[in-house]
This record gives sequence, C-alpha cells and structure tokens, in this order.
Amino acid sequence: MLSKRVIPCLDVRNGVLTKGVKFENNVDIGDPVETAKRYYEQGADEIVFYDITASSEGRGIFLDVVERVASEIFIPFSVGGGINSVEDMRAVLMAGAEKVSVNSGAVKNPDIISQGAAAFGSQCIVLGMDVKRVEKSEQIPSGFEVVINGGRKFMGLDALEWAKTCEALGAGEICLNSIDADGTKDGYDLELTKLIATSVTVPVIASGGAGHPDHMVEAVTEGRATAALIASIVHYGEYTIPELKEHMASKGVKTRSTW
Amino acid sequence: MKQTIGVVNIGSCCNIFNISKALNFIDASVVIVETAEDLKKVDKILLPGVGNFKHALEDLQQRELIGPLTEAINNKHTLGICLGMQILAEVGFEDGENKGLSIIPGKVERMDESLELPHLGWRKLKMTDNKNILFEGISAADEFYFMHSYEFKNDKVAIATADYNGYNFISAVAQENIFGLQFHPEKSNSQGIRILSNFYNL
Repeated sequence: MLSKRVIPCLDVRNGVLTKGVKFENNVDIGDPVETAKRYYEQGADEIVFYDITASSEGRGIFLDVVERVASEIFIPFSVGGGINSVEDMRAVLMAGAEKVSVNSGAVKNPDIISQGAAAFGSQCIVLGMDVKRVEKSEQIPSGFEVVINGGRKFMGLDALEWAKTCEALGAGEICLNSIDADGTKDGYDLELTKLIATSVTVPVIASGGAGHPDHMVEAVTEGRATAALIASIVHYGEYTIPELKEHMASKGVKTRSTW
Repeated sequence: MKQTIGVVNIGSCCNIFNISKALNFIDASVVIVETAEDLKKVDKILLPGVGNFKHALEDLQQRELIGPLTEAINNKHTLGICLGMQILAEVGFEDGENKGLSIIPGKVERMDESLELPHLGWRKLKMTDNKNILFEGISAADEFYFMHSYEFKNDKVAIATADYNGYNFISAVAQENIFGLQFHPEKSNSQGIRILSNFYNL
C-alpha cells in the first residue's frame, strides 16, 4: 500500500507566498523559498507551487522563484500557473520542477495535455481543476462546474466529464480544488473528491478546505484521494507537517514517516 | 579533496538540472559530460534518469560516446539513476528490442501490465545487501521516490528490491565499482541525499 501523500501548496502572487478564502481577499504570508524549505525539512512528500495570477494577467510564470525553490528541496515538486504551451512546460521542467500543472491553459486548448504527455511522459503532466458547485443541468449533469482564470471565469464545462477527458488525453494525475471549500478550513468537498477519484484511474489529490487533520484523513478514506493538499492549516503555524502525519497515522492512514 | 562528478547528458535535459542541484548541495563539483573529452576531466560518473531507453542509446551513438563512456564506466565509480541504470544492461525492451551498454548483465523489461504504470510514489527498500556502502545510514523504514514503468531484471546483481502492490522488483544493483538505483535519490529527501553522499565519498 502506497503511503498517502501530504502536499503543502504554495500560492504565489508577485513572488510572495499568499493565501485567500474562496480565491479572494488574499493575504501575503512570506517568502515562498523559505517556506518550501521549511516544509521540505518537516517531511512534506511533495510540494505544489502555483503562480496564481499568471493566467489572469496573461503572463508567464516566475521561473526564478521556481529555480530557487528547486535548489533547496529534494522531493518532487510541481508547478502551475500560466502554462499554455509545451514550451511553457519545458521552461518549468528545466527550471527544476518534476511535474507541471495545467489548468486554464488546458481548458482553452486540451491538446496541450497530449502534447505534454508525449514530450515529457504522463507522469509529468498534472491536470489542475478549479471546481464550483452549481445547479445540476443538462450542461452540468454532475452539478460541479470547471472555472478558470483563478476562479474568475465559468466555462460551461462539467467537472466529471472534464476529468475523464483529460485522463484520456494523458494527464498523469489530477489536482482537484474546490473553490467553495478553499481557505474555509471546514474540510474538503468529499462528495466532489469521491466523485472524481472513483471515476478515473489516475491519482487524485484533494484540495481546498483542510482545517483539521481529520479532514485529511477523510479526504484519503471517504474521499478516496491518494494525497491531501494543504495550505492554511500549515501556513499560519497551527500545525506542523509531522503533527498532521502523526494524527493521520493514529487514525490508521499510512504516511511516510522518516525523512 | 573535492571531487568532480561527471553528469552525463544522455538526452534527458530536465533531470540533469535536478541531479546537479542535489550534487551541488553535498558540495560536489559537477561537470556536464557532452563529449569524450569531458569524461577525462571527471573523478566519478553519474548517469541521470528520465527519458527513453532507445532514444538514450541512439543519442549516445550519434555523439560517438558509447565506446569512451563504456571505458570510463569500467574504470571509475559510476552511479546510474533510473534510465541511467537501465542503459547499463545488455538489452532493453522499451520501443522494441534495443542493445544497452552491456556493462551489467541483465535486461530491462516493462513492469507487469496488471500494475498501474507508471509506478509513481514513495516506497521502502528491501535491502538484500544492507552492508553495501551505498546504504550506509539508511534504514528499512526510509522511503524513496520511484517514477518508472520499466525494471532491471537480474537477481544476481540486485542489492535491494521494492514492493509494488505485491509485485517485487529490483530497486538497486551493484557490480564492483558500478551502482544503479531505480528510484530518484535527488527527489528522495535527506535519505536520497545521504545515498548520493555515500557515493560521492567512495
């Protein structure tokens, strides 16, 4: 049985670590490089780094920050934000990332998933999905809609259909973020997590809403995710990563325990 | 004395950067080996991973590196990582049957099709030779990061295996001065760095 992964997520705006609630009212927290290093030393299993305004501002990602983070941490590391082409992917991978996460760019041009998978392998390509609950309709039968540009633009795209489409195109992993739960610390959207995780065979990372270690346990048991993405719960010093992992272990969830 | 490790470009650009960063972290000097001339400047050789068996061999052939590289590997401490280990074998079956460097007896085959591939994630090692110098300071509880679909086959050279949902495969090999790892030490936290450091200090 694979250990369930604990993955801190670093949202970066203008080179600074930041965190919002439901994608709004962002507060700047600190230096992303220092923070990534701290989480690495605490035993994070992977780190995710999003340049959260790259897409909405229509510019490229901060490669210098990526490179500095990659020089300090020796665990897998994925980077997203403003990835719109295979060349964007290559630049991020060359700067030291292990994986690249596509979100808005894939909605606009799904072929970049298959092109990226062919160029670098499926294991490199993570589909990032930002999802919001909506009324079930003919267009959105699952009641979960894909939203892009940092939660700013509804796409009329059903989240479940989109996940399956991208898996078929060659995405190696799905990072599933609930905008409704994001930053609330009320727990992951387990219904959404389970829906997607049981409908695809690639690993699903639950994201949005972790405020207590029990939420992380729920995400990987009831929610069927293989990893729990965390932000607020560690960014403000409420818990350290070893504390979270110990709690998960005490509830019977296997995590990587030495580092 | 500070040693120079030659990280050989086998056509996997991305991983060269990561492995070089990790080697810089343990204070090694790094030379990226592009030509036969570069091989003369280095004390040890590192063959990095990520890529395709067939393409890697074709790339080395095109650059007329097969002969000089084979000679250097036979004479210097060498560490192959993932694909960098696999190309040391006699033959590989990624994209058809392709000849390897034939430095370590064995073949490279796709893992069991019943498994979800690529095999991605953290695994413990089952060290069959835990006295091996590469494993100094490593415990059976430590986990290492794997990312591959192909495996090295030859139990005689294995120094560790690992388990993927009940499927046992070789996770490290050794033959005299030559070592190979299926996992990525440069992505395996401080224990991975420890293995690189053990190699550097040979």
